[in-house]
Order: sequence, then structure tokens, then C-alpha cells
Amino acid sequence: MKYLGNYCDWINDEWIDIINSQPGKRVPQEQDIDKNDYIFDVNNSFNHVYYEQYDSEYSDNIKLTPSWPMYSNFEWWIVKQTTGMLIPMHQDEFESGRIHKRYWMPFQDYTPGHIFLYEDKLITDYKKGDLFEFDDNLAVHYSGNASYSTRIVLQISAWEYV
Amino acid sequence: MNCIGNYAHWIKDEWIDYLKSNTGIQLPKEYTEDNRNTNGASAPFTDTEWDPMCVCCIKYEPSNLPFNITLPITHEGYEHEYWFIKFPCGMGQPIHQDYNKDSDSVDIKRYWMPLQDYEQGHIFIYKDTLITGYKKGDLYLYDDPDAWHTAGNFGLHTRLSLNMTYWKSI
Repeated sequence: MKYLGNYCDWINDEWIDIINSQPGKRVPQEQDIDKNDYIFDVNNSFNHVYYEQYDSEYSDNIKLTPSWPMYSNFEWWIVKQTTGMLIPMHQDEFESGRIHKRYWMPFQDYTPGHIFLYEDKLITDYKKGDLFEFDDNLAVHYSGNASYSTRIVLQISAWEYV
Repeated sequence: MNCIGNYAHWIKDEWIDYLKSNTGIQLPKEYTEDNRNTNGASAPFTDTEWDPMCVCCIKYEPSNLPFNITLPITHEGYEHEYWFIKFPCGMGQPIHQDYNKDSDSVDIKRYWMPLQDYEQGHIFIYKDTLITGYKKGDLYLYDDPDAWHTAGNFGLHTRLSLNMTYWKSI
């Protein structure tokens, strides 16, 4: 994970209020993927929620225009994990014919129990608005919330065509 | 956390088979005063956002087991207790300190032993450090019995471990 700088001032507190007060799209239950592609679920039910997602389709009230240099094509999604939610370890998938960059930005200061693991490294001691770039787009990563407060993180995938 | 030795030879395959194929106490859903340890894990589920009826791990106490175990280490003059923990894929504990129900306990020694080699996705986080690269049977001693820690399974296979606690009563 490459640290690129702090963009705390860019984060609009209204976004956080919306995310904290409104439910997002529950993943994987409300995501358009084949159940066979689920990596795990608890007690063989499909009730286990990895996270709630907020993206450009979710709300007109959250409009993100990154203020840092980036490829012009991008998609973003915000991950909210309430206590006990876990995203299984995985690698991201990318479309061919593109060069991708993956970004990760916490919307809160680090809290013990807010888990983001990149390969075998636990990311700690970050500040709200710190921007990181994956130095390997295919790195195995996973996240969870073992704390006592909600965890909110922005994800961006940016690309240019080749 | 300091690894103080390896006891893989002490672990019996039948224990692992049993833990994998049988259920134990679902925590915190099935917590009772009877199955709460004197000096064991107890996460604060009440008055938090955690659902006390969720299942974050499966615990096995000696009284649940169909076999007897002689622990691989002894501390003369100490009381002790042990329990196994299973994390099926997708389960994770809230971060917590272990519980000292007996206020007369002193010189508490906490040990943790994985029953499998390290796999990515099997987490044990101790004081903001992920424990990795361990081998089945490695025995770790907490350098601080009150350290905050958490564990879970983001991986593809069930995670099994043993906890042992020793203490003196005054």
C-alpha cells in the first residue's frame, strides 16, 4: 500500500451522516452475483452481510469528484461495516484492455478492531482522509469490523484504456 | 506475544477431527455463568452495537470433550483452565481483553496455540499486530495478560486454536 497524502478536507461530513443514518446495499445479498461465487457465509445461510455499499447509483446526495491526480475513468464505492461484518479474503478482478489503479481511503481515524489486511499486513495508525494506492492490484486483501463502532472506507478503481 | 516452543507432537488428530465435526458452545449466544471461564475470554457484548445473540466463535470446554487432555506445560502452584476455539469461515470476535472474574487472581499467564499452520485469512491480532507465519503447535505466551486482542476467520478453511490460562489465587 502506497501512501499518497491526506485529503481529509475533501471529505464532506454530510456523506458520513448519510452513510451512518441510512442502510446501503447489502453485499452479497443485494449484489448481482451468482450465489456460487460467494466465498463464505455463516451457517450455510445467505443472511451474513459482508458490508453495506454506497455508490453512485445509490444516492444523488453523495457525489464524489476526486481532487487528486487520477485516471479520468473511475468508479467508486463506499464500504460500511457495522460491528461483526467481515469481507472474506479476495483479489479484485479487472477488465482486460485497461490499466487500473486501486485506491483506499478511510473516512475515520484508525480504531483498534477496524481491520484492513493487505496480503499479511494489518493497516493501522491511519488518519481520516489518508489516501493509499494498492501497489499490487492483485494483492489478496480483506476487511472486517471487530470494534464497537461502525467502519467506513472509500474504494476507488480508476483506469485508462490501452 | 512470544513463541516459546512447538508442541505439534502433543496434538492428537482425533482432537482436530472432533472439533471440526462437532459443535460446541456458540458464543456469545450461549454464554452462561456456568460456561464463563474464571480467567478467560469475555467480550463486552452488552451495551454495545454487537448483537449478544450472534455467533462469533465456537468454544469447547473440557467438560464438552469426549477425551481427556494433559496440558503440555505445568506451572506448580497455579490453577489453570483451557478451552478450544473454532472459527468457521466468516466468524470473528469483537476486540477484547480477557476477563478476570476472580479478583483474587494474580500472576496470570495466558497462552495461545494454533492447531494448524498459518493460513492467510486466519487472523489473530494482538495489540495491533497480526500474528502470521506460525506452525501448528507453536505455543505463544502473552507478554501482557490484559492485552487487547481479536481473532477471526476471513479464509477458506475452519480455524482451530487452544487457549490456556494459569493463575495463582491469593
